[in-house]
Amino acid sequence: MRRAMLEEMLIRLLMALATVVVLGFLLVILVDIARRGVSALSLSMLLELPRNAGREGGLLNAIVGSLYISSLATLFSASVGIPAGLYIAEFEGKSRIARAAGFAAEVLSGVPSIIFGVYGFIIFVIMLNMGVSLLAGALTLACLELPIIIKVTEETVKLVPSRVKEAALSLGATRWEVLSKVTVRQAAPGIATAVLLAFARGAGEAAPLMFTSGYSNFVPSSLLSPAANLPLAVYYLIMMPFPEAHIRAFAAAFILTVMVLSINWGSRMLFKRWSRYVVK
Amino acid sequence: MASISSIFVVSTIAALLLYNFMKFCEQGFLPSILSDVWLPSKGEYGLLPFIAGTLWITAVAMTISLPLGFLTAIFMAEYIPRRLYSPIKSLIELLAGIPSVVYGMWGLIVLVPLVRDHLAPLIGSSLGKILPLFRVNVNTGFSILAAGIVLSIMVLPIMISVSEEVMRAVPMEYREAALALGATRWQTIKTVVLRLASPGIFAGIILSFCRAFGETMAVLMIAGNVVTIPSSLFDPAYPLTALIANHLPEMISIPSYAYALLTAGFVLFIITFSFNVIARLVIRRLKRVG
Repeated sequence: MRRAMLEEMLIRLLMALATVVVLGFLLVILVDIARRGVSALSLSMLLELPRNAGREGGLLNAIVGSLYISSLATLFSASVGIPAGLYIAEFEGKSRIARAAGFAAEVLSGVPSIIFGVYGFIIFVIMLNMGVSLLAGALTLACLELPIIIKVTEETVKLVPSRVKEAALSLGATRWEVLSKVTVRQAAPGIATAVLLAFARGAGEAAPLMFTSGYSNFVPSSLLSPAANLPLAVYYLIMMPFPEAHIRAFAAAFILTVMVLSINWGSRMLFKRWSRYVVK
Repeated sequence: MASISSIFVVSTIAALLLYNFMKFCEQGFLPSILSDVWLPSKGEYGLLPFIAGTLWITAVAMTISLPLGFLTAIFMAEYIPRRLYSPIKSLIELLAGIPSVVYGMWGLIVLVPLVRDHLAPLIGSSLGKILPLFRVNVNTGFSILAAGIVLSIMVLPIMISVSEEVMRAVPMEYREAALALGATRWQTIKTVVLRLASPGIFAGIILSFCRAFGETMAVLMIAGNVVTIPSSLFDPAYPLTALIANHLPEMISIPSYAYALLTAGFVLFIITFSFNVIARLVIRRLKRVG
């Protein structure tokens, strides 16, 4: 008996220790990024283009580029992914294609991001002749975001209670009316979350964009011109041998982290608040 | 129509990589996958150093994250006071949201100097004298150890959330039965919860393995990118993902180089693909039973 109690105490101690270590990692990383980031941040960092190969000036090219690429990518993948998620959720029991599509989305979410980079480079940049451009980068990123939008949409649509749909059907609504006026509205908070999560995920990725959107020191002027973005700015600037560039990398990392984490957090808050207006 | 999109993307990725892998084999390069000579200018495409690099780093990452993730998951599922649960849960989710390039930067400016100035001299002069695993051959800080530590932090959220979820899915009555027989809480967990949840925990481990295996930016920045077959924790390594990231644009000019790089991609894809499928099937089955 005493041995059992001893074991109990020991395991509790170890668990508490492990949890503290995990949270400690988080704290150390966040504090480090924030400390370096805040001291590097200034208004000119946000509003100026880089000069002298990144050693002077700001990060405007990367900030605007990131917003362009991620928004465009999310637009592409939402316009395909939301209908796909709806279809999978509604027809999974009946259609083999729906099941296969759901499975493919799961597989896709496990594909390493560099593979998307390879895919985008060969298909969009070379075969479709888009060159290294904003458009090619956004399309590549859209492929990476697709499974997030599909899966989250699918999950929330499945949670819509069948009695709500049945009530609408019994009032004489057609299936299309039920889908567009009941199911989609009920699932709206979840779908909005899906879109925001996909945007945040896309905004943080560097590997798929290395060869597809390229990098430039200017704000992109058209869909076919190369565009910088924040993750790649962090990478290129921190790998340079100049301290001035490192400071800009710290600022970029800080902006990026704040942006991604606050969108993640905001989407969760939004979901909670919106869900109040949904029939459970 | 739209729903075919996911099928379309997966199958074109698979087809593209498979096609280039076949070309690679056709040109008689297949045996060279397991050679350690990498001289693209002479047409030698040995992928072994890169495969070894990826495996070493992944192994180190898993060794560190396994005990941490496992214990934290039990804590989160079984012991945690209700009041603490949602703040700690959201903190762990925060960890999952940090972009990988930010992890890479942190590793580069904090861990690499730490390994170079403190860990390597300390461990190398003690354990390194006895075990070759800890020997310091070159000390730049860019090492398997530094990359492994960063990856272990990156995979912790996946491991914790999957294991926690499957442990929570074990019905309460089972626990109550064990507790009623006089078992302590840990005995209950050990004999009842873990036994029932073990396939799911295994799936969580596989998913985090996949994440570590396919991670690019962080390892690209801190593993050192030296073409060798590593033999110690303090050696640099050159993972498959970093190989692709560093050389992809060069492939346009030389077809055989392209086949080699895409074969590296094929290896990455096929391993993460099959492991993912296994893990998803396990999780799906557990959910149906539970």
